[in-house]
Formats: sequence, C-alpha cells, structure tokens
Amino acid sequence: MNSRMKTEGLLFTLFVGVVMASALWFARDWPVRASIGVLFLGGIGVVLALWQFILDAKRSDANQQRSQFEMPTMAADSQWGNVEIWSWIIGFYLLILLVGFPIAVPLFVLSYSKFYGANWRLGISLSVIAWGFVYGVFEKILHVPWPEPLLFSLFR
Amino acid sequence: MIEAALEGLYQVLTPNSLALMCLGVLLGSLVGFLPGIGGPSTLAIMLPFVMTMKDPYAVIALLVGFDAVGNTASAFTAVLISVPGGSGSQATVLDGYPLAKQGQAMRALSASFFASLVGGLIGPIVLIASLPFLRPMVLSFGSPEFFMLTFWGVTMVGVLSGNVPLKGLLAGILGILIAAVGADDKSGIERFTFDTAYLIEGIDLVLVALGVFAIPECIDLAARRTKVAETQELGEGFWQGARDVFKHWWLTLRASAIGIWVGFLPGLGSSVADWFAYAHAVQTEKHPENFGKGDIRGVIAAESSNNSKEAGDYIPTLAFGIPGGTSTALILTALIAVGINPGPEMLTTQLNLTFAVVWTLTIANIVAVAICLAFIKPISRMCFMPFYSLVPMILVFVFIGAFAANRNNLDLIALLGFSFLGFIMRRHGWPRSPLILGLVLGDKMENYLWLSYGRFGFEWLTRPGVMIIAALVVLSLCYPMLQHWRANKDQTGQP
Amino acid sequence: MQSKKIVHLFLLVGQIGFAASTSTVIAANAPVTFQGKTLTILISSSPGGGTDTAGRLISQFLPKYLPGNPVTVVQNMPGGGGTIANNHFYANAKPDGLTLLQDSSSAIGNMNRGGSRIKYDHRKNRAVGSIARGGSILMVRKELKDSLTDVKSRKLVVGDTDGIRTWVSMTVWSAEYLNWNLRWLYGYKGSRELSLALRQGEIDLWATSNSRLISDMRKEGFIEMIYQQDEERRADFRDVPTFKEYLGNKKPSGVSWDAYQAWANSEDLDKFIVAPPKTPDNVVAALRDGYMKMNKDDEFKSLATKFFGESWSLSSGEQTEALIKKLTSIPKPAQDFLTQIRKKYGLPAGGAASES
Repeated sequence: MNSRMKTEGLLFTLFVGVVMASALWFARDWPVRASIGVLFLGGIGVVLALWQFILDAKRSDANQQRSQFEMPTMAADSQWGNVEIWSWIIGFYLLILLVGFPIAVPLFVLSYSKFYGANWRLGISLSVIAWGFVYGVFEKILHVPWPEPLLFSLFR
Repeated sequence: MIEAALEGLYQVLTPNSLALMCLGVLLGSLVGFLPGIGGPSTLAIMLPFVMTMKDPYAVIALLVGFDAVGNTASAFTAVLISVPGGSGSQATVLDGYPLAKQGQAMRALSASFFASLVGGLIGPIVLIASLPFLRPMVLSFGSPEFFMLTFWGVTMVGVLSGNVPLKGLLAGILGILIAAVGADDKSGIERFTFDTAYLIEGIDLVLVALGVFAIPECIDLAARRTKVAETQELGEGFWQGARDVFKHWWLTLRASAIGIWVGFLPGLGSSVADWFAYAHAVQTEKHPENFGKGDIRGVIAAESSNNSKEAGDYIPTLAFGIPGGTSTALILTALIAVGINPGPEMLTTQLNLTFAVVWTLTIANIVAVAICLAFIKPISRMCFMPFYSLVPMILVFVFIGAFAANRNNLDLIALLGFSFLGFIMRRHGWPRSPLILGLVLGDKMENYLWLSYGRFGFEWLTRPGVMIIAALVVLSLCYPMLQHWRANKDQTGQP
Repeated sequence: MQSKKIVHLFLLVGQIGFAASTSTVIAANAPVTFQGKTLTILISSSPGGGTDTAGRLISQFLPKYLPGNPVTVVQNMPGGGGTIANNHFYANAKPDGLTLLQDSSSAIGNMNRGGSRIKYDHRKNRAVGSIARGGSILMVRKELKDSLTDVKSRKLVVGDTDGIRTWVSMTVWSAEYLNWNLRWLYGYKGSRELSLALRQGEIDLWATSNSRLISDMRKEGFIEMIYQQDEERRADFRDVPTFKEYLGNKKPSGVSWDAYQAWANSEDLDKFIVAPPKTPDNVVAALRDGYMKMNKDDEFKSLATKFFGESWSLSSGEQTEALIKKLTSIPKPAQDFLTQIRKKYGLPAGGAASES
C-alpha cells in the first residue's frame, strides 16, 4: 500500500511535468507576446517538476512531504471508499446527461442516501428538498436553459 | 459634507428604504449561503423590477443591501462542509473546515461573522475618510503599479506553499498556465483552446475552486463514511469566536485594510482579497505552522477582508462611474435607469447619494451578521448530519454551481477534471491554494507586464510607485525570515 | 370493417396534425398570436454588458407590442465570445417565433473569420431588428492634440482592448492618409481600464460610444474630441465632425474606402435580435412590427436614452437583414487591403476581414 502511494505520487509529479512540457510545445509557434510568459514559466516548471520527481523518488513513502495547509491524507483503508464515491460522482454526471438535472437530482439523492442507510422518510425528504431547490430557483426564477437530455433526444 | 451625510442617513432610515434593505440583505445572504447561485445572476433578475422604481434611495437600499452581504453568509458552507459559498470565502475553508472537524464549528462561524462585522464597518469608514482623495488615489495606479501588485500577490504563492515550496511553486505555475487558456487580446491569438468555442473565454475560477476544494472534501467525507465533526461537540464557542476577533484586533484591522485596497484597485479582481489577507497573516503572525490546521486567525483574516472589500469595490464606481465588477456594473445600470449619473457628481452635487451608499453598506452588514448569528446553532447542526445526507446534497450544489454560471454541459466535465486534480493534490499533500492564486493573478500579471513594457519600455521600472511596491514586496518576503532569526536569537540568548 | 379502420386511422392522423399545427404560434393562415405563450430571449453574453442591457430592455417592452402579449423570459448564455449561444440557437431554436437571440456585431466578425467552431449563419437567421448606440467618438488628451502629426515627438499611443474594435479603423486611416504619428497599444481589459489609462496619460487616444463617459471626461477638461464615426453627427455631439468630414479631400476612394467601411460599418449593426431560420414570414412580420412599435413608447425611449445616450436608434428587421448581408459579403480586394493595412500598423487580423 505504501509503495502504491509513492508510485501514485511519482506519477502525479510526472503528469505535472508533462503538462508543463506540453505547454512549451504548444507555445513554440505563437507570436512572442503570447508565448514568452508561457515559455518562461513552463521552462521553470519542467525543471522544478524534474527536481520534485527526483526528491520524491529518493524519499520513502513515510517521508513524502505534505503541505502544512493540506488536510491529513485519507486513511489507507478507505482506498476502496474512494473508488466507490468516484463511481457515484461519475454516475451522477451520466445520469444528468441522460435524463437532465430536474430528474437526475432527486433520483441521485434518493438512491445515494438509501444505499447507505437512510430511511425512506429521510431519503424522500432530502430528494424533495434538492428537487425543490433545483426547480424553484434554477428553473422558475433563474430560467436556466437545461440542455436536452440524451434519452429524450433519442426518443424524439 | 455633514449635511450630505445626514441627508443620506435620513433617507436610508425611512421605513421604505429600511424594508427594502432588509429584503436585499435576506436575498443576498441566501444567495451567499447557497453555492451555485451567484450575485450577478440574481441582480440581473432583480433589474427589471428595480428599473420601475423611481426613488434612487430605494434602489440603493435594495441593491447595495443585496450586494454588500454576499460574503457573510457564505462562511456557513465554507466552514461546515468546505464548499465555498462564494468566491470570497475560499480562504475561509483552509482553517474553518478543520475547526469544524475538531468540533469547534460554532467558534469558527462566530469568529467569521464578527470578523465580517468589523470588516464591514471599517470599509465604509475608510471610504468616507478617503472621499477627498478618491480620484487622485485611483489615478495613481497605472499598469506598472498593477503589475507590481499582482506580482506581489504571486509571491504569496511562496507563502501559501509553506513547507513544500517546490510543490507550491509548481501548483502556482499550473494555475498561471490554466489562466492562459483562451483568447489573448494582447496578441490576437487563442492559447490552448484546441479550436473549441468552449475554451475561448478561458476557464472559470468558480469551476476550478469548486472542483479543487469542495469535491475532494466531499470524497473524504464519503470515503470515511462519517460526519463532518469528528467529535460529538458543536462547542460552546459562540462567545469564544467573538473574543478571538477582539483578541486579534490588529490582524483584523490589517486584513480589513487589505480587503479595502484589493477592492479599490480595479485591476486586481476582488476574489483575491481573502487570499491576500490570509497569506499576509501567515507571513506576519507568530507560529505560522498552525495555519491550515484549524487556526482561528486564518478565518478572521479571510472573513474581515472579504467584507471590507465590498466598500473598496465602490470606490472606482463612485469616483469615476466605472464599475468594479459585474455586480457593480448591474447596480450602475439600475442607478442610471432611475436618473442617477454615477461620475464626478457623486462626489460633489450628489454626495448625499454617495453617503446613502455608505450608510447602506454599514447597516446592511450589521443586519446580515445579526441574521447569521441568529441561525448559527441550527445551521451548524449540519456537522452532525450523517454523510449519506450531506454528501449527495453537497454534490448537487456543486454540480449545479458549476453548471449555472455558463449553462454548459462541458462545465460539468471540466468540474470532474478539476475535482480529480484536487483529489490527487490533496491525497499527496500538494498545496491547492497556490493553484487558485496563480489562476486569478496569472493572466492579469502577464497583461500588465506587456502594457507596462509596451507603453514605457524599461522605464516603467523607475516609476516611484513601482519602486515603493517593490520595497514592500521585499519587506514582506524578508519579514518572516527576520522573525525567524529573532526567535532563534532569543532562544540562543537564553541561559 | 377494414374501411372503418382506415377512416379511423385518417381521423387519428388528422387530429395529430391539427394538434401539431396549433402547438406553434400560428398555423399557416391564421392570425399571429402569442397569447398564453412564453417568449424566450437568449442573450449571447453574461449579465451586465451592452448586449445584456439591450436584451433586457427589449424583453421588457417587446411583449407589449406583440399580439397576445406573451410572458418574456431572459436567458444568458455566455461563452466563446458569443459563439456558444449562436451555435446553440442555430441548431436548436424552434422556428415558431418563441425563441429569439439577442446578439452583437462581434458575432458577424467571428462568422467572417470562420473556423470549425462556427456552426451558425446569420444570413439564414431572420432578423427582427437592431439597436445602434451611436457611433464612437475619438478623444485625444488636450495637450497632445497638436502632436498628432509631429514626427519629431514620440508616437502617440492609441489604447484598445484587442486592436480590432470598429473605431480603430478611423485611427488607422488617419495614420495612412493624414500622416498621424501613432502606435497602438492593445490588451486593456475594457472601458474601465481604458478610461483610467486615458486619464492617467498612459494612453493618448481612445474612442467610445458611451456618451456618459465622454461627457464626464469632457467636463473634467483633459480631453478634446476629434471626430466621430457615424455618417451623420450624433444629436448629443453636434459640434464634433464626422470622420468623413474631417478627412475632407484627403478621403481615399475605391478599394481603400471599401476596406474602411467593411471594418467600420459593423458599428451600425451593434446589438441585433434574430429569430431562427425558417421562422414563417407572418411571425417574423409580427415580431418586426412589435420591435419598431417600441420606438413610439415614451418609457422605452427614456430608458434607452439613459443607458445609451441620445444617439441610439432602432433599425427595422429589413434594414438589419440588409446590413448583415452587406457585412458578410465583403469583396476580396477590400478584404486583402484590410489585411495588409492592419499588418502594416502592427494590428491583429480579424473583424470584418477573413484571416489569411
């Protein structure tokens, strides 16, 4: 588990370095005004990312540096918990795409709360509140134009 | 001037104006509390109704009352569930949320509201005091000076990196590169848009902030399957919070001053007020290692500055009829519709209206804080809600918040992307606030540099304003080192 | 038995057809009415700017003059410099008269520039009308007025947001034909920053159509107005000559003037409102009629004057359509001239000309 965290950390540092390098790549053809800032900072970024990568690789996982401003890392045994919640988040997004906000919101709230142990009364109350908020504020007052849900457009 | 002040006060205290102001405050507090609904959208809806009002004092009472208080109630969600209710409460999350986890939610909220009160009172006072100097003050800041100020802001990336300067710098650079996405006016080309319409106007700060801050905390809550408060206590911290603000009165004053300056300077964008104040607190206060772990000073600095900046926002508006942001632009539209001409007359023949604005800012802040304090206990109970009640509601708010700004489905994908980024950064201890600072300031800094060089060549470096700010930057960077050296000297001096 | 089923089938189809036809605002020959309907006005920018103000103003008054007085709803759809709203409207808006798009002339510029992300065509949209806020007026800092043609002094600095605003054309043609000693500094975020920069002396010349800003600066006494872009002098600035008048006999003709007009004329279009393609003629006629009737509404006129100054004017749908056609069919020689002259003075290509 520890080495997994370290590998993950190294991959992320690598990712940051790649982003910096890509910025340099894209900016190479731009006019000076547009590129000089990006080239300067991207160049520094590549160097710093490499330095950080080397530091992270040399340290053991227990000594990986954490910012004092960041919360303590999640416990190792919640690893599976992370996958679960990400599934719910992506699922919510897909639901919004398929059936639109006004339907997805109460459906999601009810299914999540029930799945993890809420009773029917609490689950339904929360979904009604969430739906009321979405409908009342965003549809009735702000007239937010909801995009057409995928499912509806398939059956149009 | 005294007559104008009294006339303004009299008009603000009429039953009609007071009622409209209270309505504005209630609406503004609700909008500030609920992430996803922004002040500008709500103001835009109120506009047709407001345009039918004939009385300029009524317009001021409603709109200024609404606008002044958005950052007060946004502390609720920032502290209790780490979702910044508005862009002004992002820095509050850093110490407010850890306090809530430690069972000190009441103390954190109470401190934030009392700090908001102080900031909200100091703002108008400074506004009045600077009325005679308003125009020369605004005019003395040109592109070179703005560049130095944004550069100063960017050096705070270093401060907010704390003990991991490399990671912090990388996060800051990443933020600046994200800010570069979109159409670049100074060169006429588009950067990193990959020929899509979606990216032409760049990436929204609200999106990044919600993704990077709110969702990772929500994930943590869901993964731990617990409540926000890791203890069973709400804490009896109501009066403790108030005492904290007065104990750290000097920090509160400095943070309020920073807020006013950031609001006043049209080039900075007032969403950085709380970050500047927070970073300043970290730089100048003793035991900075406690920040980020639930240090009440972090909450105080952020909240007093984000209220005082509202008064600062009005300075260019009143001095030149130039709005400080979207909200003030809409308020200006409403004022014009009722026949007020914002401009030089606001400081001469229409001074009574200016004072009405100032009085409304003051009284609205007091009313807003009173409302928030009244609701502290019931709303704080959110900390004890089981995760299966909170998590879905937070996700709904965040998704709606991300979508509602531009009403584009692609924003949700961007939100997911930034959420993952924030999640990984949190997981591996990368500081996230430098990313936000880089995002807010990067674009401006680059622009001002080009305008400065384009206009003055290298001579811009010799302008008095530039040199003064440069000296202040050096001082602010050296001060913590000086403090450290003094502390060491004291220690070694002991027998 | 079978014939009965066929009759029933025809009746059913007939009923569905009838229901479908009455769900729109009108059937082909019936009088147009918006009664009980909701008119949605989509605005291609975020709240607070000129396009938004125009759209909201129209949303308040247009329903009064449409048959049936519909309820109006305003929706902002910012993003992509207006492209997102335009693409969405063009692809999705139903041609039933119930959805309109409030847009600004920059969408024509974007369309002309082209590219894979432009998925709309304003030539096919049905123009309802437009509101022009009055031409831009060029201002110079008083003490520098005499230095415009002085090659011994430093080049005077023209400030702008992106270097392709319509009024910049006047300064470029002044440099070319009046020998003005200029350079352009662009990258300022908006009129707030530009007016401050002019006050501070960071820039020396700037133009805007915002009469409030101009009057304030005039009162402060540090600027002088040189000329204005409109064909005729604005009612609120009658003492300022038009650019054409100022040029006098130095005014170029032929390709050069065609190119100038290609760049400058989108100011006439300014803020326009359209219905989707294939909106029936009688619906468009009702919308256009309602739009022009707003011009007779005293409250509308009073508010428009407060927001836009005295020189605003409404143009009919037909006029707007003609102007859009003109702005999207610039002859190639004029386009090439435009590209060249912009390059000569270090300005970005864009606006009315297509990119090379």
